[in-house]
Amino acid sequence: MFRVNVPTTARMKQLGRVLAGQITGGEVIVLSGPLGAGKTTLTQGFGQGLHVDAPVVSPTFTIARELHGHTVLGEPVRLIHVDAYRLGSTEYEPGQNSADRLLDELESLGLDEELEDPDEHSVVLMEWGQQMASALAQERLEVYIERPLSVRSTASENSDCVLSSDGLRVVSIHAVGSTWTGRMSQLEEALAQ
Amino acid sequence: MSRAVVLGIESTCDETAAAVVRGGTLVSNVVASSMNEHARYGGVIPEIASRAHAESFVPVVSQALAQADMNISDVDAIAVSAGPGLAGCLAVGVSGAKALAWSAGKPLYGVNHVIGHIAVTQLQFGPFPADTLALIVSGGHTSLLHVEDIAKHVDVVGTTLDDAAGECFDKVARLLGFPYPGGPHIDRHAMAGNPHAIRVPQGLTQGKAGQEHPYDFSFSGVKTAVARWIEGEEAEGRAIPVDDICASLADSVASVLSKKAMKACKQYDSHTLIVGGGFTANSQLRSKLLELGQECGVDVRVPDIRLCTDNGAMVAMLGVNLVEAGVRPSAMNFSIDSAMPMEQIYQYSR
Repeated sequence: MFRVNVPTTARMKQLGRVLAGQITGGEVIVLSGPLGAGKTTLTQGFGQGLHVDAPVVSPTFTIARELHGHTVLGEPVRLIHVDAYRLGSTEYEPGQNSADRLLDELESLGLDEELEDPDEHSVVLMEWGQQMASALAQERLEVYIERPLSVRSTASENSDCVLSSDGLRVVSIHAVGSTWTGRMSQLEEALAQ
Repeated sequence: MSRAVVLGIESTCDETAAAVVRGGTLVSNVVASSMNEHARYGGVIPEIASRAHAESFVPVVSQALAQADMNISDVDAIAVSAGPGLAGCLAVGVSGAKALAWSAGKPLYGVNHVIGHIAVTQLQFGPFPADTLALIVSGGHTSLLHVEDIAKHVDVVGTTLDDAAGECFDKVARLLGFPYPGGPHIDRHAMAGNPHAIRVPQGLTQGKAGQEHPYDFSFSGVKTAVARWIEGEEAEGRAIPVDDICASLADSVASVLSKKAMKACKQYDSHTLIVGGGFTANSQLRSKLLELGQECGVDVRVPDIRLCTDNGAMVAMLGVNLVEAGVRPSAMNFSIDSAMPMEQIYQYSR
């Protein structure tokens, strides 16, 4: 596990692109963090890195969206962008405690097998689904974005200032299973550049 | 000339709906919603919605025909939403419509749900002029479209680059502890608040991003800014001014949508703006659009709420437009398309 500080939106997109550079096909990435942490921004960078054919918009409404791109080596890859935000009941945090429900949903979308055993031409990027993904995918990269309160901008003290979505984010990256553990040092190096 | 009679069927999200339209007149309109079943989950659960569609399909369609005092042999064609929407939900409506069309020997049109939101305004305001613009805003869509000919040519002027406007509202509502759907709660609190109390950003309106995307929308940053502000206030032990947050958020979103729509009207030299989608129920958006429309000399057509939210009339009306334009029906092997492009008016075949 390692942590990186991401001070700007541009850097968050770059982190997404660097992650995309590690993709060869068959990976599962689980992206979590509170509302507004920067998951969309990171995913947009990830999409850029895979040269996907359409804008990476929020899949909250449809639960999953499929995009087509290619890896750094030019291999075609299908990006399956899943958003489990709505799948948990309101008694829990968004996306939690609903592995079965997610499985039902993914099954109806034909994606349940993708998560358990993604084929070599797919990569699954899942938002809000830490608990479910842990129950389903043996091999995965867990990316957690924190939005520390201590670095809160002073905007709110000054009502003349427009509120901002900027600010420091701390991203923790944790490998589960051999697919990712073997790539961690390489990834850390790429991110340090 | 006698006008076309079309049965329209809708099942893209949580409403199972059917309606009969004759020419530009609504003959019957039946809507069954599974909304209450989703409320405790904080949003529509596709699997639950699909089951509800399967239960409601036959009763809703039968009722729409009965209210129109017709049976299936009296209609000229059937139209059904083929996308965009939730795959499992679309599958129920499209399969049912195919079975019905095949058994009754009627032509079938698998139409674009979003374009149906534009078409439905004809029921209230009559035909619209060529080169009309349309703003469609809901929990799943935020698009600005240019309608050259509703049956033949629609193109995208702008769209959201991240979250839909309704999604941004729903997420902030959940943060504030409002039950789903959050829109009406934000609307109500906004009426009591000061829209200028908190300066919520207006996505893609400033600087380089604003120039590069004059007609596109971004609401993800708006949601983040509000979330961060609330968190900060809570951390410092201050009371959260719920009314002011709602008023400021609603003002920001309504202003961006209205300003960009008016700018596009100017660009396309259009004097008519059609508004549709569930988010149109938002009173701040309605009043902002009407206010700017008057300033800019644009006729803003905001239909009654029952026509803005998902219904069968929108599908039937678009069906009438297609039949009367002489467009060939969909082939029976047409597929659902959960991500149907906005430019595509209907599905022909795979």
